Amino acid sequence: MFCIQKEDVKLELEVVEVNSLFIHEKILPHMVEKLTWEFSNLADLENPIIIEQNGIILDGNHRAYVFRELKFKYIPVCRIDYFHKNTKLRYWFRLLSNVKEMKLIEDIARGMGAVFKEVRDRESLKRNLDHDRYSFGVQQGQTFALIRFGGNKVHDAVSAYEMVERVQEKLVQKGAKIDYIPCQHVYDEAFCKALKEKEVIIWTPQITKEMVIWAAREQKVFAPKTTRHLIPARPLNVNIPTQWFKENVSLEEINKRFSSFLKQKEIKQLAPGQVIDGRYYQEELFVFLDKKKEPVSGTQRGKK
Amino acid sequence: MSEKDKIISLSATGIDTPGLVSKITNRIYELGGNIIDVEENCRRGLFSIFLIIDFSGSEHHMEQVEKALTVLGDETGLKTIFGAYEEAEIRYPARKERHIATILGEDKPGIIAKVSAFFHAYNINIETCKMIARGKFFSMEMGIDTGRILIQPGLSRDKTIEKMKSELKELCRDLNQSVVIQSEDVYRKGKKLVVFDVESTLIQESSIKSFLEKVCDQIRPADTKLSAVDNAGDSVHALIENARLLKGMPIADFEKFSSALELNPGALELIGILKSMGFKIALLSSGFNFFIRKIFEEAGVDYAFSNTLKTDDKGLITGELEEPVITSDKKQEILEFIMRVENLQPDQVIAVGDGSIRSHFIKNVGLSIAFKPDEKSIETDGVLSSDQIINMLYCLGMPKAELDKYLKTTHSQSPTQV
Repeated sequence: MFCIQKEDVKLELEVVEVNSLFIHEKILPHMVEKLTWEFSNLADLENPIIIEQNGIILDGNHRAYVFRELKFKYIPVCRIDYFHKNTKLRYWFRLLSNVKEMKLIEDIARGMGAVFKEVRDRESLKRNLDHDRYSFGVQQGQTFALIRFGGNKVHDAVSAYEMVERVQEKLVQKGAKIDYIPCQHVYDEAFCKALKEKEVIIWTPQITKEMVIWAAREQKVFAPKTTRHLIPARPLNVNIPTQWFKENVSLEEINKRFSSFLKQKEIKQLAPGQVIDGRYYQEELFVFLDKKKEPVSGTQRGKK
Repeated sequence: MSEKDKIISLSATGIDTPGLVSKITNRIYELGGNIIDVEENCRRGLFSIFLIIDFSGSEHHMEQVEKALTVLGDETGLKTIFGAYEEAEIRYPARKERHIATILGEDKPGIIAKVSAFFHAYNINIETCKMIARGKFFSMEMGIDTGRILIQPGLSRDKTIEKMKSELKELCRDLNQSVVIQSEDVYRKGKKLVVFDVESTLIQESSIKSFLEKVCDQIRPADTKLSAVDNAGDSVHALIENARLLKGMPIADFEKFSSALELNPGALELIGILKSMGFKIALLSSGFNFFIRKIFEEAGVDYAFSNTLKTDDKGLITGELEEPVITSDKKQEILEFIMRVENLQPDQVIAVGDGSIRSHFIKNVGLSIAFKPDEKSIETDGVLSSDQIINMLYCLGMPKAELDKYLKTTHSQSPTQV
């Protein structure tokens, strides 16, 4: 195992069997298509997937799924401490455009048997969602509402998200378009001000880490784009050859190879808040680089 | 022309109309001539062509060729001049050292005359000269050959060229013009990455100090006014001191107010155009990252490095910075890091700073541009003295018409008011 440790942050990099991992979210077909094309053409795996101690995938569900589909036996992972204070569980909210009025959502929700209750403001909605983890909210302009299904339909975190999906699907059938936004956007005044009249935000259920672990152990799968994990640190630019995973080698052998591959690299540590290759990273980064080639000296050049 | 003069030069000028090149080249072909060199230009409705033609394989007498070419002039309405071309008599310079000088600024009479006289005094040959923009704003690109430069007493060839570049910048400063001079092979080599030293180019350093003070005024009671430290020296001390001053304040407030921070005019448009031209964009800053994030979110860049304030669980600033802290020394390291990730050589990089040593943190880049430098600035390939940073696009050879087209698509104003 290759270990990076800085203060109380520990990243454990190793290769594990793909089948030992838990995918906790449903897979999006277009993502699968893109990754399948890449990995079947043996594109490097840029970064190990991020998992917690029990093998639950926190970042990399699609990559693991495609590795499994392509019959690759192993996959490189970076194991982190899920209960570290800087490992945070956030959510993807849904931004729906082309929704004429809140009444439409109310009718859909009531039609599906839910309780639809308007609440005073954003803070009130947040309080309600913190208190009742299986309900979800909607926001259009300055109107906020809470949607709650009965125990026959929603009895755990997974079914709570399933109902969000179903409401969403009905809205899409009525012409709405869907986008996913990080949950903290609803506290960004500039973002909220820029919302258009026919745009609606669905505040997804505020589930907990324990619920994620429970669902994975029960082999229950959340809707796509449920969790958004913020992690304390991340390895980057590792570029592992996928060719390795087509070879018939033992786990021990491939781990030795992976470890020695990583040892040959130089690691550059970067503070949180940097942009690399067009993506903003909120976490600390450990970027792997090929070691600089030393110029060959005159005396060495002639040696055989 | 006699029968032994089988190679001739032909130049033709006149009003441009479609089909001129076709008529000329077909007539040459009919006469059995082989074109061995050609340059054709159309400017403002006028046409010019210069050809070297070899008639040694032609069955026609040179007298007939001469007549036919005269008739061609009458037919096309072009004024033609031809003469014998004796290659042996043409003295080629011992070496060619091509440079591209781009001069830009407010138009006024005498700029070309003064610049060309300057080159003449150095025995530098102006091989090409073209106007990229004309109107109130002026931009000209000159292709010069320094192969026969007059070596200055006591100086080597390289030092003479350095002296010439430095004097050209002085001349252009006197003419109130910006200038960029770069070796042609580097100019032609595809650049891949444009790196901006943020505080000196995209935002004004002084505005960061006043921004911090303004935001603090809104957050804290009036009797605890904050006086931010000017980070002009990029010092670790100033950074740490400013971080300490912000202790206890909510980071979200700074993020919220960061939209009030003004960027230099044309900064976002410049990034947008460079991206559409295929450049990767990197922003390096020793400021706090909420400024950089604003640019990243609005313009989208490939790399952005800045300092992050540490916060506690409640989102309050602790007064410390996340390690490693980015100072001017670190910027060089980070640029080298980006080049390694992108697999680039220094000559594929364009560095834009303010001409100070701290903002031009890497040597031997493909093109270094100083935006509004002060007098103590270091030697860079170019100097942009106008307020419009977007004018750096002219130094990449972008004609005004194309720039206007790009700006039209982004609904922005023309940057040509200098």
